[in-house]
Amino acid sequence: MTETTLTARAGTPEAPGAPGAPGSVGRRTSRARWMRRARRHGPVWVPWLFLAPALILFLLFKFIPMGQALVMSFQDVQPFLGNQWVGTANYETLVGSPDFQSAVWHTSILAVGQTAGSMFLGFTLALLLEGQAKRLWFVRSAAFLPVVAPMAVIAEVWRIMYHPTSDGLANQIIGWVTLDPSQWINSPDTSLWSVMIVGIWRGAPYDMIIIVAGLVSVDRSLYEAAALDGAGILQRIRYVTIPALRPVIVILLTLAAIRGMRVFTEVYLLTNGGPNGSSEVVMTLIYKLGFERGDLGVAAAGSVVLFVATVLLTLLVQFARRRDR
Amino acid sequence: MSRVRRAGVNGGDGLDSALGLGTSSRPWIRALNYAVWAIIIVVFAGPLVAVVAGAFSGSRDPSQLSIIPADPSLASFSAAFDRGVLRYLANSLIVVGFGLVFQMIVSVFAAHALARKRFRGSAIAMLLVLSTMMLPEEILAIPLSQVLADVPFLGFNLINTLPGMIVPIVAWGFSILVMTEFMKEVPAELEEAAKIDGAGEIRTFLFVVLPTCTPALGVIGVFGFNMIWDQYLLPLLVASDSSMFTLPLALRTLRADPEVGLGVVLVAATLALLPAVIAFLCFQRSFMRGLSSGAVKG
Amino acid sequence: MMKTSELMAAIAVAAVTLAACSEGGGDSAEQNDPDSQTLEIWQRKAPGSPSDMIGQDMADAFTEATGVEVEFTSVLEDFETKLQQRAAQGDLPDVVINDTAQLGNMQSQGLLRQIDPAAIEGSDRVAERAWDAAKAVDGEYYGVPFTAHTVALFNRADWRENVGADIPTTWDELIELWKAYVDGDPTGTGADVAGIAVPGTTKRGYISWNTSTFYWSGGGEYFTEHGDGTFSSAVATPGSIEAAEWIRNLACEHDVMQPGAGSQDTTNTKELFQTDGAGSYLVAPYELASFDIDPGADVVEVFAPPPGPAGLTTLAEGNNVYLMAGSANEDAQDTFAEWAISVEGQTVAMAGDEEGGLVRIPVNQDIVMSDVREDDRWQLFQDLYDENGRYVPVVPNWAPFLQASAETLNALISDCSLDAETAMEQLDEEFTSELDAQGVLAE
Repeated sequence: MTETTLTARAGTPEAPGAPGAPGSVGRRTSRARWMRRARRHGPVWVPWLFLAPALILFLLFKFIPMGQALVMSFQDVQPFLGNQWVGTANYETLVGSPDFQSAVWHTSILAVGQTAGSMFLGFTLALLLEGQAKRLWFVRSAAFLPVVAPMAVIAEVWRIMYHPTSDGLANQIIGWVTLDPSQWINSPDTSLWSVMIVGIWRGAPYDMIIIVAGLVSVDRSLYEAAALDGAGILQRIRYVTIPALRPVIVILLTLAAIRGMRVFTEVYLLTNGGPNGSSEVVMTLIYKLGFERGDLGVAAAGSVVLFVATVLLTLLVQFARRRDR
Repeated sequence: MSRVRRAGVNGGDGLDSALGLGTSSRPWIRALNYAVWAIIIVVFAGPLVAVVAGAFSGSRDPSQLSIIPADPSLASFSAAFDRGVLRYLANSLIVVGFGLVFQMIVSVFAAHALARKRFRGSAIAMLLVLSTMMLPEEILAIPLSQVLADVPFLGFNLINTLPGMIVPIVAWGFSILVMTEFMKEVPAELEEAAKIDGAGEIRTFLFVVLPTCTPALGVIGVFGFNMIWDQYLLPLLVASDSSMFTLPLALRTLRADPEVGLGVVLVAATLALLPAVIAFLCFQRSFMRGLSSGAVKG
Repeated sequence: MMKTSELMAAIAVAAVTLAACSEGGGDSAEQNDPDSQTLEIWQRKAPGSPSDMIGQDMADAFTEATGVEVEFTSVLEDFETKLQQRAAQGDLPDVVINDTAQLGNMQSQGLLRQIDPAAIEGSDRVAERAWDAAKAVDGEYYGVPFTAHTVALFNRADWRENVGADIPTTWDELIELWKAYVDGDPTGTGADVAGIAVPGTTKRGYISWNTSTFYWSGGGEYFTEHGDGTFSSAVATPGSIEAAEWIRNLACEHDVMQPGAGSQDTTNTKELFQTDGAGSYLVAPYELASFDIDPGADVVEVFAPPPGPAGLTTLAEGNNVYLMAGSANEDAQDTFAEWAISVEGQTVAMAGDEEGGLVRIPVNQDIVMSDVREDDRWQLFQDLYDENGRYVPVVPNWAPFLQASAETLNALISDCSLDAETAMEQLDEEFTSELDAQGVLAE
C-alpha cells in the first residue's frame, strides 16, 4: 500500500554506504532506509502533527456535516419537536416535486450556457489580447477585474444595469440596435438568461487568462507552416490553436460545469429564483426549503443529491481524462 | 498542466501573438486594435469603475450609472457611515485578516507533511484533502448551519459570531494542494543539509523550507484573500442580525431598505470592491502564477 | 492499494457515525451558554429605524424595571428566513415580537412555548379580543398580546370638497366619491388620478390582505368553522363571490382603482397617495405621521369605511410577544411578557405621538388613549378595533391561504374577462386541499 512495504519486499541485503543513483533506492535494505527516513523525516507521528489542524477542521466542518446531511436526509427534521426516521420519503418528495425538476433544468441550462459562453468569449478575448506587450497586459488586467470582484458587488451593479425602464443601462444598449426595452431579471421570460449573461461576463476573463497562458506554449512554427500552406486565420485556429489547447479547454470546461451545479450567490442576489420560479436553481431551492419552509429533511436530501451529482461528474471526467491519455 | 506551467518560463520567445493579432504595423489595423481594446475595457472594467464613480456622485437616479461621477460629492459616504457601513467593513476586515493568517498557517503545515514527508497513510491524507474539494459550503449549507450552532465534541455556538465565519474556512483544500505542489519542488538536499547541521524539525521547516516557498505563499495568500473576501453563503448562515454582517451581506439589506438611497449601496459596494482590486493589482504576478498552476486542480 | 471508492465509502461511514454521535451528545451545549442569562429579543422592524430606537428604549426600561439584561435586535429583511435558520440551528432567540398571523406557522413547528394566561400577571387586564389572536388552532395560547391595530380610510379632504361630496356613509356613496375623483379633476391640474390606491400584488399576499376589510364587509368569508378545530372552505359561497366581485369591479366596472394595481406593493401605493395620485387609501394608523407630512395634515382626513352589505368588519392585526421554545431562561421570558402587557411597558412602547411607536392600540384596557397620545385620530382606530376589528382566521398556517386568495384576486383585477364565480370555485378547491394538507379539513 505504501512505498515502505514495497521496498521491504523487494529489499535484498546489500552493503550500505555509497549513495545509490536515483533508480537504485529500492535495492537498499529496509533497515537502512528506515534510519535514513527517521533522520530526514523525524518520528512517524510528525507528519500527522503537521496535518492535524487541517484534518481536524475538515472533520468538523466538512465530513461531519456531510454525514449529518446524509442522516438528516432520511429524517423528518424538527429541531423542537424531535426528529423521526422517514426512510426515503424526503427523496421521494424532492424528486417528485415540480419545483425541484424545474430547478434541475434551470441549473443545467445555466451551467451549460455559462460554461460554453465563457469559453467562447474567453477564447476570443485570449486571441485578441495575447502577447507580451505592456499595453496588452494592461487590457488583460482591466478585463480580469470581474473575476476578482466579490460576487455580491457584481450582482448589485448588474441589478442597476438591468433597471427595467428604458433609462436602464442595459436597455439603452439594446436600444442602440433598436430593440425594445427588456424586463431583464424582472420577467420570467428573461430572468434566467439575464443571470447567464452575468455569469459569462464574470467567467470569460478567467478562461481568457488561462488560455493566454496556454497559447504561449503553442509551437510558433506550426502557425508559420500553416500560413505557408495558405490557411486563413479561422483555419489556423481550428487546426493549430484548438488542438494544442485541448487539455486546458477540457479542464476549464469541467471546472465550470462542476461549479455551475452549485451556483448560488449570483442567483440569490440577482433574482432569488424569481420571478415566479423562472430562475430557481437547485441551491436556491435547497436554501428555501431549509430556511424558509423549514423542510430541513427534504433540503438535506437535496444536498445529498447535489453531492452525488458532483462526485459522479468528477469521477466521470477523471475517467475520461485517464482514458484520453 | 506541465504545458501551462512551462508557458510562464519561455513565454517571451517568438512572435508577440499567436495569430499575429494586435501586432500588425498597418495603421488602420492598429486603430482597429485600439478600438477593440477600448471596448473590452469598457465592457469588463466599466461597470466596476461605475460603482466607484457612483459612490462619489451626488446624483440619486437609480437607473443611471456613469464612469465619471456626476456632481461629485462625499454625501453618500457620510450617509453610508450613518447606516453602519464602517461596522460591516470592520467585520469583513476582521474575518479576512484572521481567516487568511490561520488559513495560510494551516495550509503550510499540511503541505509540509504532504510534500516533504513520506509516511504511512500519506495517500489517505491526500485523498481526504482532495475530497473536501467536492464538499463546498453550498452542498453543506443545511447541516453546516446546525454544526455551527453546536460544534461537534466542543459544543461551541458560533452562530452570530465572527469566528463562525472564520473557523470553517481556515482549512481550505485548494490552498493546501497548491502549497503542496510548490513545496514538492524544493530540493530535498536543502533540508537534509540543515538536518545534518543539527537543525530540528521546526527550525528546518521555518528557516529552510519556508523561505524557499515565498512565491507560493504569495499565491495562496492572494487566492485565500479573494476566497474569504468573496464569501457569501457562510456569513449568510452565521450572521443573524446586522451587527455581524460583512459588506457583501450588507449590500442586500441596504438595497432592500427603502430609506437608503443608491448612493449608500454604491459606497458599500465600493468598499467591498476596492480591497479585492488592490490585492489583485499588488499581487498580480502571484495571482497569474496561481491560475496557471492551481486552476488545473481547483 | 486500497481502491479509491472503498476509501470514500469508509470515509462516508465514519462521517455518518461521527455525525450521529455528535448529534446525540451536544444537546446540553446551549444550556451552558455563558450569555444565556441575557434575554435575546427580536422584533420585525428595520434596524436603525425609529421603531428600532423605541425598541431599544423599551429594552432599557425593562432592564431598569426588572434587572434582566436584554440584547434587543431589529431584523426586517428576511426576518422569517433568519428566524427559520435559527430554528434549524436549534438556537432560537428567547423572545420574538412579531405579527399575530405568524402564530400558526411557528406553533406547528413547535417553536413556541405554550402560555397559561392565568399564570401571567396582569393578563386579566388584556382585551379579550387581543387574546383571541394569541390562540392556536388547538385552542391553547402560544403568545402574549402586545399591540393591536386596524385599518381606516385615509382620504383627501381637499379633493372631496372640490368635487362637492360629503363623507360617504354607504358603499354606493363611496363608489360615487371615487368616480368623482377620477372624472372630476379634483386636483384642478387635469392630471389623471385614481379613486383608491390598492396594493394589488400577490407578493406576501398583499392584495388579499389589503382588501379583506371590503371582503368581509361585503359578505365574504374564508372558512366555516366547525368548532372542533376543523374547517371547510367558504370562498365559493354566494356572499364570498359577491364580495370578490365588488372588489374586482373597483378595477373593472367602476375603474376607480389605480392602473397597474396588480403589480404594486405598499411602497408604491403609499407613494401614489402621497404624491396626489389617488384620493383614498385604506391603511393602518402607523401611516398617520408620514401622511401628515405628505400629502399634508391639512388635506388628509381619516374616517371609518362605510358599512357594506354585511355591515362593517375591519381587518385587525397586531403583534404578540412570543416566548420561544428551548430557552434556558424561561423565568426571564415570563418576566418580559408580564412587563410588556403592563401599563408601564405598554406606555413606553406607545412612545406618545412619536413616529414608530411599537404599540399602536394598547392591549391593556387600563390605558386611556388620550392620556398617552394627543392626536385624537387614534381614538377612531381604537373604536374601530373594539367594535369592528376582526383577525384573520386561526388555522395552523394562514400563509398559503393568504397567498392563494391573493393570486385569485390579483387575477380578477388584472383580467376583467375572467369569471369571478369560476375563479372563486377554483380557489375553493385550493382551500380545501390546503386544509386537508394541514390536517384540519372538516369531514
